[in-house]
Amino acid sequence: MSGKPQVQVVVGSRVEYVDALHAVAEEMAKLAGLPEDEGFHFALAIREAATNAVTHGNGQDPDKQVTLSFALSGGSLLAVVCDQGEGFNFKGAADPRLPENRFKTSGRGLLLMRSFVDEVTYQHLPGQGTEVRLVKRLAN
Amino acid sequence: MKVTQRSYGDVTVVDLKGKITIGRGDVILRETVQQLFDEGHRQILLNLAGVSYMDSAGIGELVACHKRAVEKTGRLKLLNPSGKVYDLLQLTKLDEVFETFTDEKTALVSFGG
Repeated sequence: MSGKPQVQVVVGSRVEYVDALHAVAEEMAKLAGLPEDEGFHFALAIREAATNAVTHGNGQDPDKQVTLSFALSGGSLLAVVCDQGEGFNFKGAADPRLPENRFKTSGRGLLLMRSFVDEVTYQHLPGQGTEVRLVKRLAN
Repeated sequence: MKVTQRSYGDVTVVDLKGKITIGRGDVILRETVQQLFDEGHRQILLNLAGVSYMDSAGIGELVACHKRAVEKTGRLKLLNPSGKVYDLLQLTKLDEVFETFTDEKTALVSFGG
């Protein structure tokens, strides 16, 4: 995250903590002035990124942390979710909307993220973990 | 998430209230539907009117319930998803998988005698 994050939350890799991260995202959406619907979707996108970090990234290893940071700047609300895992193949994720994938019981998180914010980018840093950046542009 | 059940003939209506999300709501949904199948119920109508939202884990569990129903030669249908929940079903194209109703009587009749 360029510059200092304005809000940062660090949790252990437990599924139970995803609700807490979601709640912080909802508050950040309110602070940023997002309309109710857009705020709901923004928070849901962050929830999905946090779930990925806890489950796929860190494999629910309690010794590994998930860091969620927010910054408001330049007309955008930026969220960054970092894990300490071995990486996740975002590019290889199948489209869950295709008929052959509709009956799969997982694999929809990335679709929700991409649908509910304006930009999703990810970077795996060997030995450090994966960083997912989600940008929601704010109306003037 | 809170769950209550009602029966109309062979159809069990499951009223869900809360959110279907990872770690709690999805587990409750899985266990509720599994128990119904274990008890021999085969016609299930999930009433989503009280479900505020789902995440991808909750959506995945709905799909798992649907698959379990098919395996058991049963049927699982949806009733009254809220706007937010229905939007998610549309986004994921699952509105083309699940038979969904806005009227309970119509839904019950659709299971047949």
